[in-house]
Amino acid sequence: MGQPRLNLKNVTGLLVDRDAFTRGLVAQMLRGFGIEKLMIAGTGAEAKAMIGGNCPDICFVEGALEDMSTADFIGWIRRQTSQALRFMPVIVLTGYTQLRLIAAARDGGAHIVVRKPISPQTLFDRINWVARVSRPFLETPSYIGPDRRFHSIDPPDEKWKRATDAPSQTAAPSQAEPTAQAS
Amino acid sequence: MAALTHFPKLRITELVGRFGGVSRDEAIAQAKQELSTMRAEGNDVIEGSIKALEVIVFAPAERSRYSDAQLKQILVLCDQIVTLAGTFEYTALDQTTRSLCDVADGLMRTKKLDIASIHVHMRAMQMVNPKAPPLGEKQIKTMLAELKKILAHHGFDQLSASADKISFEDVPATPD
Repeated sequence: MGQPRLNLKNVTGLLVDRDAFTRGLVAQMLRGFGIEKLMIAGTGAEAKAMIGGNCPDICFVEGALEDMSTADFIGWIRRQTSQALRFMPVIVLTGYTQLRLIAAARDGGAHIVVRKPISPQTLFDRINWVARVSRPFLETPSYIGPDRRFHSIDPPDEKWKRATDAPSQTAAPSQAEPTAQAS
Repeated sequence: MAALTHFPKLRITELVGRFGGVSRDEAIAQAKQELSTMRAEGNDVIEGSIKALEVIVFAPAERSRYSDAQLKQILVLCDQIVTLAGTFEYTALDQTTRSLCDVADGLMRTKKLDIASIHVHMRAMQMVNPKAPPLGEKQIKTMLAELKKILAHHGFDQLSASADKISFEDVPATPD
């Protein structure tokens, strides 16, 4: 099977990180992937002001912003009236000392969290994933963001609530057929 | 308010699928090339951060302890060094700085008084600074083993251990 191709030429990215050199590193990688339009901000407030004028297609934000929590920043994006903006994929880049903030970022409405140091391979794969995999977007009183469930996990006691939940019922259509015919 | 489920069509999905673009290998090769041009500047930034770290580490707020603000500042600087060391594949510096992060984070959480552990890490970082004369593999191994003993002595959790365990997918979700 061929490799995934991404045409990022017309994609506008927003990059928010307090550290100038890290911003430069990530920006260089993104330019290497072909992104030509990059909006770069050092703080959440700066990023908000930039978003006011343009709607980026994807956002890369660090796990611990200097002037506000990353979860608050993502929450602000998710509450915007522009649909393009509120559904925008948000990739959180978390540093080694920010790992405890992963759950907060996820519950703030991030699409995915990528741990620094970021390799070009990881970044490319994550962009490919958020761009191509369609995820339902949930809006509840306490959460606005993409569906956080990645896996369908078996119940710990293997006691299924419905007969149709059991994997053997759905995974083997050839076995299920005779039952359907009998009824 | 009832829960609403949307199935949005993202603009980026349409854009990335357009004719042209780059394959994964091409994109990665180009990105690596872009990064390689930043290595020298990266070394300067690492050196600058280590120097900034020295200023804090060798001037604790009190005789036997660092203030929370100082420990936080140490973590911020270390975070940057870990990011750069990892990006440019300076393994020894990466591991030494992570170990310092573990100790600083542990001291902050437990309120333990200890300056010597931080000093030892600082000295180790100076030795594995990319601009310092390179150490032998055996010396690095010994040094890292000694740093591990400090962490074990304090009984601090390794942020690195949680880094390998925690992923976005498996952090338990809070109910909506």
